[in-house]
Amino acid sequence: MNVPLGRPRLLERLSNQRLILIGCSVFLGLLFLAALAAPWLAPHDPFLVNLAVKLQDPSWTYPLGTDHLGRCTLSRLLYGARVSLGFAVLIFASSLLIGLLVGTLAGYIGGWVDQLLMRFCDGVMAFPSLILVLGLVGIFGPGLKQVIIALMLVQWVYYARMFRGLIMTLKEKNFIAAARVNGSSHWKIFRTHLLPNILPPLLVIGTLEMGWAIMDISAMSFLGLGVQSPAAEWGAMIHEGKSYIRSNPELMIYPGLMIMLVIASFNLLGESLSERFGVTKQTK
Amino acid sequence: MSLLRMEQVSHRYGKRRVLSRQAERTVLQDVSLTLETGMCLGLLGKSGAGKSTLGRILLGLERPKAGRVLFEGQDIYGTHPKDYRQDIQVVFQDSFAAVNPKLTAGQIIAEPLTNFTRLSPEALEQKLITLIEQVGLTRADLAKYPSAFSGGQLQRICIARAIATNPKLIVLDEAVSSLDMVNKAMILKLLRELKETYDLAYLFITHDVQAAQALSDQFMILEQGQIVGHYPTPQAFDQATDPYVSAIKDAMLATHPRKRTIRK
Ligand SMILES: Nc1ncnc2c1ncn2[C@@H]1O[C@H](COP(=O)(O)OP(=O)(O)O)[C@@H](O)[C@H]1O
Ligand SMILES: [Mg+2]
Repeated sequence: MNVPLGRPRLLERLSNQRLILIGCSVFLGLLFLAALAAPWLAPHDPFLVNLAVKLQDPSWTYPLGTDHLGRCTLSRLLYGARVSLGFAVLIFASSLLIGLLVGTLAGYIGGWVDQLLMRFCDGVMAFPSLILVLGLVGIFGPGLKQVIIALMLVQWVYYARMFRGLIMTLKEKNFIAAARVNGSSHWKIFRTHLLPNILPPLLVIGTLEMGWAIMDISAMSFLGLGVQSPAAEWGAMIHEGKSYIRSNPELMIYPGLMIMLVIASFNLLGESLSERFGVTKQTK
Repeated sequence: MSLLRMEQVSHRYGKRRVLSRQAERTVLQDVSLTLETGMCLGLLGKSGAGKSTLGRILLGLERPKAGRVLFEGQDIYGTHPKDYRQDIQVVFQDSFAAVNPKLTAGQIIAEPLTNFTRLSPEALEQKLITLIEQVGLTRADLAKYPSAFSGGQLQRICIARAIATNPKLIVLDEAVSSLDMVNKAMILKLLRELKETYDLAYLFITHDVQAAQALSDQFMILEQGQIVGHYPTPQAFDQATDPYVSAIKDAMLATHPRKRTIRK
């Protein structure tokens, strides 16, 4: 049967890789720019408390209204993007570097170095990140720094395992043997032969991980463990808004929507990149 | 002094783990051989006999568990491990796995040159053109990536890389085994010409008797890690009655209709 159905056609068009790739890149790119330019874009001081204008509906002065302390919601969302995206990049970059270093050493050298590093990774993996955060918060008190350190300490392990696997597969290829025969140093082999060949999966996993990092930061802040008021952060904004869920649900909806859109974009982008580069997905 | 001597080399693989110790298995047992300048030694043996391991040991990639490898009298696993590097090169079987897919043909051939020589960019460019034309490709091919070539063309690029620094010995590990008849004949011809031009020595590792005969001056048979036959001339190899040799010859020659024998 060749009955054209409306739905699959629509899905077909939606799953158009290129469209997703471009759409998500543009959205995330604009968001990054907006976060960078927050001081110029924000119509108001995000920390300015003015009880006279609390819980206002959207207007020309306050495009998305105000919260329970009369602070401009749009300004807080913009400044919140700085926190969420900025720290997600920080967590991503630092854990990626550690993971790349450990994974490459383990995979390339092999032998007892590999065994030692991997047993250490197993040990770290035994700690769920939430427990680690709770532990650090228990010791140092709540705060963004503790959350970020905890996430970094946990995240790098996944990268290390992934890179180890990739490097081990590559190492068996004869072009590495040929490079050694041709007198290339280990550093040169890493730079010209290993790194360019692990770049596509690195990009894919990195994109997916960014979404997770944003989710983690927001979740911790929502639980009151991460960003502390009056700092603007999406998770913390939901936390503050939850007392007004009946009268002013938009206080939770706006930041919630932002989190959802950003994470969905990172995930879609990661998926389409992985399809494009033919990277097989590895679950956490 | 011989170009290369392997003395009583033994090797075994086995993964050493922190807690458990896996059984090690012997891959080479007391292997000795000698290579002279300009000579091609055909190393024949079935799959798994240890031929590639022998090649890797000879290339300085795998330190043997016992024995010595002397290149021009120097132990290559001795104190100065890098001295021999530009004199011993390699061509592998699978040319697609032997080149980095992210590099162009020019970059691939340039790798040993940038490591061992100090050429100006113009001199390097000129050298690359000479090399790629020498193996029967054109200068336009220098800018192409491996995916743009056929297996035979890529094998030519691997050969260009191997001869780039004027080595004295090239290990050919099944270098023609995965090529079709026509390409095989052409690559063998190229290898023979290069051998004569540069007085190269080859260690020609193969399980293909006909290919070995097309290039080799001497023959050795490796069976389960041990040398079970050494034939110093092609004539001696032709007349060999050794059961291992006949088995290998039969296995190969049986494919030819005229030489096919009916077995029970
Ligand atoms: N890196 C390695 N680790 C463990 N065993 C290996 C390794 N390389 C080869 N072997 C084993 O050594 C034996 C000889 O292999 P190889 O030298 O590749 O033989 P050939 O080239 O004659 O087919 C095989 O049984 C193979 O499984
Ligand atoms: Mg082999």
